[in-house]
Amino acid sequence: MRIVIDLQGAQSESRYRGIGRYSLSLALAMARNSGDHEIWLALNSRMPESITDIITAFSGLIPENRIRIFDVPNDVSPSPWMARASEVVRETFLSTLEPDVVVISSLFEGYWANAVTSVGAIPTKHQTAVILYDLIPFLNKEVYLPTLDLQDYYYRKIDWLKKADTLLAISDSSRQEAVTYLEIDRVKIANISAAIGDQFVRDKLDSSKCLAILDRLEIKNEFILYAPGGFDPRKNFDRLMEAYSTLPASLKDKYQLVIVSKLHPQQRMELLDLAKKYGVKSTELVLTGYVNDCDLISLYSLTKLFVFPSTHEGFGLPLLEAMACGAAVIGSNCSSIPEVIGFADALFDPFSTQSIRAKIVEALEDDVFYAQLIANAAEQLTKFSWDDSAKKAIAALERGARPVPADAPCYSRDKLQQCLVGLSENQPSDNELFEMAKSIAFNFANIDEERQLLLDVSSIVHSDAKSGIQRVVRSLLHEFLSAQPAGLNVRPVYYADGRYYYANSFASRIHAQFPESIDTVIDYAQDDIYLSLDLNMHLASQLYPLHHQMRHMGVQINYIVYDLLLFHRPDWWLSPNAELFNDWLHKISMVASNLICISGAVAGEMEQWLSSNADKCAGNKPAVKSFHLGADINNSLPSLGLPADSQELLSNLSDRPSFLMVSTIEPRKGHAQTLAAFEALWDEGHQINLVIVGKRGWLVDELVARLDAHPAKGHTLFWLEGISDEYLEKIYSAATCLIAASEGEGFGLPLIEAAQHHLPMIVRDLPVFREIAGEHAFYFEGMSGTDLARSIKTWLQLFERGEHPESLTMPWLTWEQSAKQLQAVLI
Amino acid sequence: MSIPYYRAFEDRYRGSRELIHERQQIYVPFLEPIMRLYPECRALDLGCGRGEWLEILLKTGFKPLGVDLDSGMLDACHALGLPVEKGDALEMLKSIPDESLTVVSGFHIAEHIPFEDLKVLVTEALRVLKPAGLLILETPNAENLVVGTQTFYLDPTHEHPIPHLLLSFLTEYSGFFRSKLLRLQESTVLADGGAVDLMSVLHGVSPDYAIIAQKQGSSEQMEKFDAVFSQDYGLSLETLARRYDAQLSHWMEQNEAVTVELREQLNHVQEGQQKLMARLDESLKNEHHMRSQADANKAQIAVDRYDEQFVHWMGQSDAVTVELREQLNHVQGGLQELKARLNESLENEYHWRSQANANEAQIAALVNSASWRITQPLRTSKSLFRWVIGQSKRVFKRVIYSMLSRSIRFVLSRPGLQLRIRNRIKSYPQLFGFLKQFAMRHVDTQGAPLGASEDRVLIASPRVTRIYCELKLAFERKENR
Repeated sequence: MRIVIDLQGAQSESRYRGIGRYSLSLALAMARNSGDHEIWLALNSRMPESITDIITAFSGLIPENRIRIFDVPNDVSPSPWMARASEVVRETFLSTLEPDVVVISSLFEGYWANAVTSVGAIPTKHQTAVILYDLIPFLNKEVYLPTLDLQDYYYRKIDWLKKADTLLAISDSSRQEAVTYLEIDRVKIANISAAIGDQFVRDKLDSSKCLAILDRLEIKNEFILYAPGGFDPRKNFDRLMEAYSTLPASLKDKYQLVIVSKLHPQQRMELLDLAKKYGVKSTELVLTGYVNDCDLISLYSLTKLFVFPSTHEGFGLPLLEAMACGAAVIGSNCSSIPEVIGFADALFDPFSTQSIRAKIVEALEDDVFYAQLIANAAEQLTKFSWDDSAKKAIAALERGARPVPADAPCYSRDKLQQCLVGLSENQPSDNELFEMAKSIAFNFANIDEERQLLLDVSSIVHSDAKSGIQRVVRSLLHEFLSAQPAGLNVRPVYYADGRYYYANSFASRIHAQFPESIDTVIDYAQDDIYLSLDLNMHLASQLYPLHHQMRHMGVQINYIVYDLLLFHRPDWWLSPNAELFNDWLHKISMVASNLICISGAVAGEMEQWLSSNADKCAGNKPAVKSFHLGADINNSLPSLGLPADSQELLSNLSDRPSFLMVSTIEPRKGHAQTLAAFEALWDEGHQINLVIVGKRGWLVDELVARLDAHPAKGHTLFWLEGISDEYLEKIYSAATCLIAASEGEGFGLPLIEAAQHHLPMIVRDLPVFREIAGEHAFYFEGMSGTDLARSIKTWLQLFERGEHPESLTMPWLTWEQSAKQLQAVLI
Repeated sequence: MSIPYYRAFEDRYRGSRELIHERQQIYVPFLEPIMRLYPECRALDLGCGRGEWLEILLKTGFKPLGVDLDSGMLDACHALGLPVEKGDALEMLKSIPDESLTVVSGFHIAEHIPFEDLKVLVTEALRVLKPAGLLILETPNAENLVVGTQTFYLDPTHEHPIPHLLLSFLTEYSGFFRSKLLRLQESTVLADGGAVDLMSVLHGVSPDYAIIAQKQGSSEQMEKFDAVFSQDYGLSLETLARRYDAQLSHWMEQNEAVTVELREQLNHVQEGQQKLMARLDESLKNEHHMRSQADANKAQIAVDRYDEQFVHWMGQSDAVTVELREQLNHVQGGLQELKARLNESLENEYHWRSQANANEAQIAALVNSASWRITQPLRTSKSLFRWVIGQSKRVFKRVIYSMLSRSIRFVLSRPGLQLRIRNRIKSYPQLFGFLKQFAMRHVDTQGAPLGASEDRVLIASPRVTRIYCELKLAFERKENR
């Protein structure tokens, strides 16, 4: 059986109160005890903070793809058409999940909150079950339904309640109310009871801590406790005060009356007035105001007696909480309270002050009776657990299951449209239609269309600086467009003006068969995959809210991490880059589902960063994965052009062993160390050339000056800036060996380039280079010129004997293979 | 040229006897005055041919004589009993005595003889004519362009065309008093003023002309001929050309008139269209104005409501403050009492003092805690008060902001009109694409929450646009039903 739980009850404002806690706990317990059944969750996208909390709570219990998110238009006071249309859309969405039964955790939500609930707005083939907390407003209209609006709203929901196939009541008394006052068939209602959280256990406090707490809350010593969990008239403060005031003076002296409840000033005034009315002295009454869970548990544990004179409850969670903390509990003899206390002698008539007083006196003075109360608490506790409630709920749902009739209605877009059009006589405004269209687009995208792979190519859409990273982006994009992964629709997107747009015109330019050519704002839906191919550091603060929103709506957010060099060595770059990078790293960790690194080495660094900065991730735990970049076999459009002196230079190179370095002149690339090494080698008389190919970068003015003014320049030292691909090819052919002295890399494409030219190489011993080159390179260690000079000498000796490591058989990936690796990691 | 050839030629091209006869009737008005002048009118026809002119002379009452070299022609004349002689025209003329003839005529001979002979002919004719006598010479009119370039040369014996000015000058130079040009044998249709086409200009001019020269006579004699001499005969080239031009101009004028009319109508229609456009703009502006009015009103109402609520909250907190103040006064009163009692006991001994100290301590504690407890609600209400103001300020700001951005986006908020314009522009894909991009860039949503209700059709994603349009259509269909 597939059970879909509409968990809006745990999302709205209610989630901090009884209903919210109840819904979440019950759903978690049902997931734990599901057996053969599938448990799914349906969440409302308009309450996003709760979504991450709920997903975290259910991780491990339910696969994330069974937590479905639906969207309804955001409107605090919607027009009648909007309200009904939202209900229709929600129910249609639920029916597309093909449940056997839908459990609504809180039917009466929605008047103040963003929640949308309904039963039977459209004909469905699944059963509906509703958790019934209580019918207190129904039975006390004057107090709880003062306005006509509220009444309409509430009675409509009552009608739905009656339409539900199964009701899960939280107590026998609620069940009975439904049978008596709503004339619902008894068979349809099951009592699944309730339970409390694990945190409610007796506090083992030593005396000093006790005193500290009591002092803070200004409680003298011993006390009688009432924690009502609300401030309605049914909580019966009036009679409690009166009863207390009529206690014998000795008892009043010994025991204060402590009322624990969040109180608005007006409410507090009310209570103080009551106290005055009955002559309860200020020394005798303590109003603590709001108290956190921790303190509450302490109070439960310390109190002499817990009194619960409420006249009407759905269940009465505070009773169970107090009992769990070992308190002696007495309470009213009506509604659900007897069920929870389970001890007839502990009950009194809440409508009679005399009765209340008598029972308090009895509890305080009769030790035997008191001991019985304590024992009862321990016993009662065992009868309530979430697992029990969940099992009862599932059993009730199983009982209510019916076979699906063959001609049952199923989802179609036209039917939904017809339904919306025929909802009411009022014509909705264009704005309303538009908002509804947005919700419909999100909710039903998975049915009508393939899920999307959104590739963020913002950096290359408008201008391509052809940096290393941008070449990677272009190559991966090209691969994904040429060989679309099965079941995924590849859509390049870019960011502009606060939104994402499909990069259709760009894509149709670079890939002839691309179907569309005009850019539009993007759609996304749950299950879509977003992949950021580039390092958009400067856009981090603008993109973060967008990505956050997308994650909430169920889009899998992935980033490619090229390296963490800016984090480890900010000195290798100009100033604001390091701060920007750290900010970016921080933000992506807060929002990513996966962080995909371009090598195992970087993945290791990433995991380390995450574990040491776990507090910065706001509870998000991204998975760290890795793949390898590819390399083109041939550059499809090589630049051409040989300068006049090229012949001379090439013959110079072929005369002696020539060592080649190909990269931008940056601090980390190790040119300075290499130059120092070669100077030492030349001094020793070695006949070798050093060829540096690369434009000058940043923070290298000193080195550049050295190169320009070097005595060996033009003889054994050559520096070529901005040469064509054709020239570079020739130099590769003439060179003997490649030197890669970079102190930090994310991947190491230069090594692969060398391997493609079958050039042997001397590389620094870095984990990432080991990963790429394996045994196909000669490694050196050390940061000084002497270290490197030594290694080069060793290599030269090996070279003469022909025993140096060759790069001919070094494995490397084509872009096609690289894209396949990336795909495997994404899906 | 052989004579039989010439006869065959004449038969073909000269025209039938009857036709010639018809044509030569035109000279009769010139002959009749002569008849009245002289009882006996003798005439000589040089190159008389088949004798048609002789017949006319005879009928009119003259005593003619025809002379021709062609015996075949002469035989035909003889057969008709016409007085003819064979001989050379000039020789014959020279042999006639002075002033013995009233009319000398030569039809289509002038173009056959050399100019010198023609001069002699004219001089001799003058000699032999009586006073007021007439010399008639008819010859093809080269003014007719087709005649002058084509038909004249069909007869190989023609020398060259003789312009009428030459002939008339010759007669006057030779001594004739006056001469009259008669253009002859034009089409009656054209002569009557019929339509002139280009061919008519080229070929409709009178194909023949005659010069009738008169010898000087007495004034009474001459008077008799004034009438016929003052008329104009035939169609000149100039006339026809001018008539042709006039026709063209007329047609042009007519066309222009029509064009002018059409242009007027077009202007009229365009004006009408402009007026409609202006009215449309106006009504759009009005609509816009009304809309923004309505929005402003809505905003105002919302603001007013919040104001009301705020005032209400203020009232409530005021009431609370008043109560608290009362209670404070009450407590303060109690405080005073205690102080008095303290002073009393201070007058006593050490243990009263220590007791008083203890009391004082207790009182201090009480005062502190009491006033703290009492001012606590005051403090809470104060922060509540501040929070309330902040909320309403924020709400107010948000309302103004959304109103502003809504009016900016109003242009984009007419999907019906928008859709229609979209369809029209879609046939120019580049323009459409550019407009879309421009609109998306232009709408600024920096910092606005995603999904803000100012989104409009142009900046919606494809799925949403599709679904929205389907829904809108469905609703419109329902409304139409």
